[in-house]
Amino acid sequence: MVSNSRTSWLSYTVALVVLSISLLASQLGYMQPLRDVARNLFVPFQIVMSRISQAVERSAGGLQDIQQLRQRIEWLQAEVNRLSVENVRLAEVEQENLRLRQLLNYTRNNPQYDYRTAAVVAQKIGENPSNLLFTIFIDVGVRDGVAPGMPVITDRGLVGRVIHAGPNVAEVLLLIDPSSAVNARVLNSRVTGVVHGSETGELIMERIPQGEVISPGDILVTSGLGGTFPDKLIIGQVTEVLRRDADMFQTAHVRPTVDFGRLETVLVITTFKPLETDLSGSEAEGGSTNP
Amino acid sequence: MLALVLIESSWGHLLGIGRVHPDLVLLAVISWTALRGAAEGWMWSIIGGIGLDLLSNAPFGLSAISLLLICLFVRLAYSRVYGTSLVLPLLLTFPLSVIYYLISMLFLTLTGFPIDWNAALLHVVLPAALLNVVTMLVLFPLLRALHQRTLPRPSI
Repeated sequence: MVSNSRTSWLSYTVALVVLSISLLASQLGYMQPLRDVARNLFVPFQIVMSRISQAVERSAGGLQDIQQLRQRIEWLQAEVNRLSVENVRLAEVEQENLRLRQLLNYTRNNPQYDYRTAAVVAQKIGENPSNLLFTIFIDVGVRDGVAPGMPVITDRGLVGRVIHAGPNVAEVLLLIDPSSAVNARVLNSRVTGVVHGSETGELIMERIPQGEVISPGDILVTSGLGGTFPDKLIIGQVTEVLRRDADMFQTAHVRPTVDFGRLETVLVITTFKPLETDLSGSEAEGGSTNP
Repeated sequence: MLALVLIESSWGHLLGIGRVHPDLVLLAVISWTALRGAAEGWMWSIIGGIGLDLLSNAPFGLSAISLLLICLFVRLAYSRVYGTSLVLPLLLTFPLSVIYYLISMLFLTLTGFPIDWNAALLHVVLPAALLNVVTMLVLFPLLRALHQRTLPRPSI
């Protein structure tokens, strides 16, 4: 009996030691090949399960009027999104036109980032099982031209960026993850700051200089600073501004335009080459603050 | 156990409320340790934990170590007595869920992940622990049935 107890305690201790070593090894990047192999094995199951869940979600409506209301809401949301995007585009065109008049040598920066002509369509097939971290898996990988650092978007706006790409599957760090940070600016006033996620799934814009004017309703887009995201991708809308004289910066709460709870199809901008290839880079460079 | 990992990864948003979903693997480890004892509980912890670690961007081993420690707590709570009653697992679920998250958050903080502890406790840990208690009401009877079906029959 005592021997059995000793054996089980010994095996428990050995397991803990081995796992602790693997924890350290993963910090050094040695466990990623194992993850790649396992994730590739999981992909077929994840695809099947995500299709089932999508089918369940679509058929769960049940009652006809609820279905019709849902469709109406979806149509209205799509219309709002379309108009928001159109509005952003027109405002950008207007401002661009103004700048072009002022600067004869102006040329639009980075035209190759136009996602309409350089994107890979992907389906979400799974998500991070932890409630503390926000990443998803998509069914495209290196074989489709996807690489770490590439931005991921929907028609509503920015979703996040690829942090790891296997042969057939890629992991995307969502904008709402606490370790995500994106350089952003207010569309019309050009006020800049850093948008990052939080444990609550909300977006927070920080490092807004005290003197700048930012108000609820302002639309935020990526600024392109740091070179890790293309500019002018819609992030969200300011809902609340926290301003205290004692602080060096203002803080704003932001409602993302993307509904992260209902992500299905996304686009990966494959032509964008981030300046910082090291995804373990520090904060405020538009990337992950993960180690 | 791997099926639970896949369910948590693929259907988590369907099973959850808001952005929080139940931790099926954690609940399975608590239940199975309660039903079958520490030896099988540890096995489930390792398999389930590694499964979760493979599908997460958190440091590899974090979930497995957290689950192993939870398994240890269940073992201590049950001492040498194992039972099929729902009461004790149900009572253990809330505190063990909180401990599980605290261990995970501690490891994440130590490995450089920016965790806002106050926000995480209020908006993730407590709702998830409550959701786990509710889920345990459904999951434990299912696992108990599985336990009874898979018990080795005594030879005559």
